[in-house]
Amino acid sequence: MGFLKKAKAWLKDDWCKKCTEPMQLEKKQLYTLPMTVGHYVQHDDPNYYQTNLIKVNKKADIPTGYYACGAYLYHCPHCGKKVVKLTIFLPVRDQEQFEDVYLFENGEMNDFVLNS
Amino acid sequence: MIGYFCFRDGGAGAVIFDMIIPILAVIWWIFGGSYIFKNNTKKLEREFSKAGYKRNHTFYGRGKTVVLDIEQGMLGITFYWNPGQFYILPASRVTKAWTDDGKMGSGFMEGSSRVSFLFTIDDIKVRVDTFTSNQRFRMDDKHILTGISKADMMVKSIEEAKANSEKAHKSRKSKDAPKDTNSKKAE
Repeated sequence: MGFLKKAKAWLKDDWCKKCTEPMQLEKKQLYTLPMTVGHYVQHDDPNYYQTNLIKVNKKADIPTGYYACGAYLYHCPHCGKKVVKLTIFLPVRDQEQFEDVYLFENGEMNDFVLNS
Repeated sequence: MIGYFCFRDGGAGAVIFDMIIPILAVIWWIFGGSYIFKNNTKKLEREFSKAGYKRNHTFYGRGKTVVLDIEQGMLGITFYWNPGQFYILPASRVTKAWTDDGKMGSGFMEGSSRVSFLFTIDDIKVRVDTFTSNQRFRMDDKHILTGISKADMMVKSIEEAKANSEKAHKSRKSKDAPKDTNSKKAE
């Protein structure tokens, strides 16, 4: 049982790896990235996202051909750890083409997501 | 023929000399067309900028290059199969622009092998491919979605350019209109 939980926590981004328990979603926010289709460049530096993400309220507000970023702030109810997950995707009509998922576990993006 | 005149006795020299022209022809056949097209594209971009238009969007399609100035409503286009020619036109001459996702088949066979955006200028249909393949891909495949997104973006940009061009045309007309009435009154 413990092994299964550890495996689950290791595989799932929204599980606390320390407590091996599911985390709670505290906030989610949609952003647009200043990159157009065909010109996607990978960035794993949180500073890039802090300076370039533009907040939008709904998917329809993202201009056609621009990449979107969904930010999810999770917190563990047991140890209080906060994790930010960024999913980069291209919205195409009613579908989404996922490019990258980044997990910031050391609090690099916490304030940005909370304050935006 | 030239080989014969230069090397009347034949030999390796004549063979090499006679091979030069066919080799050059093959090289031209392989690279010549794309070389002309690339040069023509560069020329279009240069002339577009020189005319005072800003290149908001440049789409390098297969055999076609489309350049757009959205604010001033201008469109530039050049074709592979029309070498030496490029066109810079007001986008108001575009009557319609749309995306063709190339969807074929049904059920598990549903898919596409070509995604393109199309527009009509002076009733001439222009198709610019954003994705082509000799295989059929599922409609939720990365290649197809990227192609659709590119096509949708270009269609939206063309429509914006068209709207701006028409607006500019109308404002120019309304500016000219009072002058005409004055001249008529004077008459």
